[in-house]
Amino acid sequence: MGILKGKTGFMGRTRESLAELQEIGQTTTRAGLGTLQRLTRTPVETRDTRVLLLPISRMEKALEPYAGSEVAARFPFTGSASGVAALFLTRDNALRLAELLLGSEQGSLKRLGELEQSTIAETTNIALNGCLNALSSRDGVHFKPDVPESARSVKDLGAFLRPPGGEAHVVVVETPFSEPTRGVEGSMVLVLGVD
Amino acid sequence: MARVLIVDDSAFMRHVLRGIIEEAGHEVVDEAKTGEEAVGLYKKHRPDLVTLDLVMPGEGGQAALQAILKEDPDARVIVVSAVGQRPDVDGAIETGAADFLVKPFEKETVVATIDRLLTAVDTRG
Repeated sequence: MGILKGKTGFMGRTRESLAELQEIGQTTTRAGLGTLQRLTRTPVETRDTRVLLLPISRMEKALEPYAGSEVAARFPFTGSASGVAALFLTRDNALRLAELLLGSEQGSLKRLGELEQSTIAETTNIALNGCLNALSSRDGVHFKPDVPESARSVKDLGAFLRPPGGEAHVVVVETPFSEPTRGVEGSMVLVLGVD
Repeated sequence: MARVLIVDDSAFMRHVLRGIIEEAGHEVVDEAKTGEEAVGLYKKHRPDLVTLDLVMPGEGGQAALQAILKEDPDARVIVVSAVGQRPDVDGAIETGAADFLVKPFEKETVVATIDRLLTAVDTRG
């Protein structure tokens, strides 16, 4: 039983690693939701944030619900870690989010044109950069994000989320969110490559 | 009333900024989607102010800023970035940007920033 209670050694180091992962998850979630809230000027909540540490080969399976997502946007980043920040929505939720951010009447938007897709891409840019900024509050940590791009129907989830640095493992922070005034639901996913 | 050139690859951001700027009583003379387009439109319109997104495809905002300032050293450029891009903003200010806005921004912040720059111009005579 001593091995489970020790502060040093194997379990001590494991607990430190788990605490670090938990900290990354909480920091990212808090920042992402806070930034989304400032953007929408409405409450934004989360249900269950997941933090995963996986070999890259298992990432696609672990995030299977997002395969074939109707609407998504992403931007890759480099710096202290390379990774991908992404937002996933159903088509209906994307329309509702666009209506909210464009100040349109609920139900008025019927199609995702250039402006609406740009709205989703920019939401990804702003909210997920908020997450990266929060992680950057640690000494020496910095990220360099690239231009966001939107996608209609994610065909290859693995390629969509693969960090540009080609790392063998990833930390994934998955934050489902909901915005109650317009009933918008979606998920923010942050993938950090781990050497 | 200021004549403003908006530079941003995001149609959403161009839409938001146009709305804020026009509601404040200023004129949007044109919109550019790329840094390269921005320089050409600056030469054409000689706006009072430019809002310039820093992260754009192609040359990017920093290169566009340098090109605009080379064309007109007195150009008043407000750089726009997402939170967390502070090193890029600092670099732009060092290059000669007049001010900056961080997304998501409040309408009042945009208007106050524009008014502050216009006042500074007037004071300079």
